[in-house]
Amino acid sequence: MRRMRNLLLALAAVVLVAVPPAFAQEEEPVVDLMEFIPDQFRTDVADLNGDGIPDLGALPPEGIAGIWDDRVGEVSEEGFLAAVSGSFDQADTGSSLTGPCKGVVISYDADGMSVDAMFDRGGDDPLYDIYGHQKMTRDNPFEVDTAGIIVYYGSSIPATFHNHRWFLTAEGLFKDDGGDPNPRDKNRNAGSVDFGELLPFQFTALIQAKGAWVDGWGPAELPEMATYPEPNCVGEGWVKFVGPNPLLTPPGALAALLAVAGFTGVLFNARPALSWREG
Amino acid sequence: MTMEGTTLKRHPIRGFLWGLITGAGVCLLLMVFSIIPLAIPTLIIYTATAAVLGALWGVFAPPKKPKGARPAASPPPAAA
Repeated sequence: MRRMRNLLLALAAVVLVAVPPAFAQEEEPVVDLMEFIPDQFRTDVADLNGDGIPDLGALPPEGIAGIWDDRVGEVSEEGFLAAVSGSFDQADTGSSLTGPCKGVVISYDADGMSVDAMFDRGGDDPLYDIYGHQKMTRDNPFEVDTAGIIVYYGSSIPATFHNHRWFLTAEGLFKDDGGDPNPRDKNRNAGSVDFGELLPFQFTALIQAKGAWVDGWGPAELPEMATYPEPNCVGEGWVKFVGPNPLLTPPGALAALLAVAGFTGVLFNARPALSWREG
Repeated sequence: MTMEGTTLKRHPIRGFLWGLITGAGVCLLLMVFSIIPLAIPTLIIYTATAAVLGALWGVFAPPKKPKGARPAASPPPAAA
């Protein structure tokens, strides 16, 4: 009787795990991301893994840096902590991107296969994924492989920003900023960020990020503000860094080690103890 | 409350330090599994809370029993 009950329980567990994914309807993309990719780059990409997101052939040329871009970063621990501790509201689970900025961002794994993508058509609508769902929310974060690459194709058309400044902050991780006088009236850019090359090791985490790009600000660094002078592009949302099993990454292994060692110490080394009184 | 013939030694400092390590480890684990967002204030809150709980554990937890057998009572001083 007991054996039969255990068998039924095991069967129920298998059914619960295996059946729902089989019945889950695979969503069809409602957007063709090719419309956001400039003509000269279209031959470099093709959907190889059939997920509706173009996979990577050749990398686009690296985005052109502005002359006010920060090439050094923070040099002290205090400076770094202050820079990455932005005013983030963790209760805000949504995302936004306002202003004329538009384009597509695609993340790839180390083999150049697409991981995730999002696009914006400009205006006050938020970012969307290819299925038409709002992107960069806490429930639908933009996934980035920490061994992979991000590729972006963006523009501010019809606006053209001059003497502009921008910043990008990811809570607890990084901050970057820059700008350019833009004497050649550029209003589009394409480039890539190779995380596999930049990062010393892989990690996994869910973070909040925000950024702003303001026209006519000048060479002074752009601070975080409640409102920015018009015209501008301002956005914030959630990013999920993905990779191998978190316990196999250095931060995950360290976290597990600390948790196990600490809990063992609390249990066996910190309890009050009785000892026999001498004499 | 102590057993007769015993003394109680409490370990609030050890509890604080081990709690600190536990809090940091648990918080980082939750972060790498993306259960909570990565944020330095969150890490500080988890670590500080666990350190305080560890110190309280080191003071108020049920004490470990004394090791070994009760030592024999010392003999009365010999009469002069």
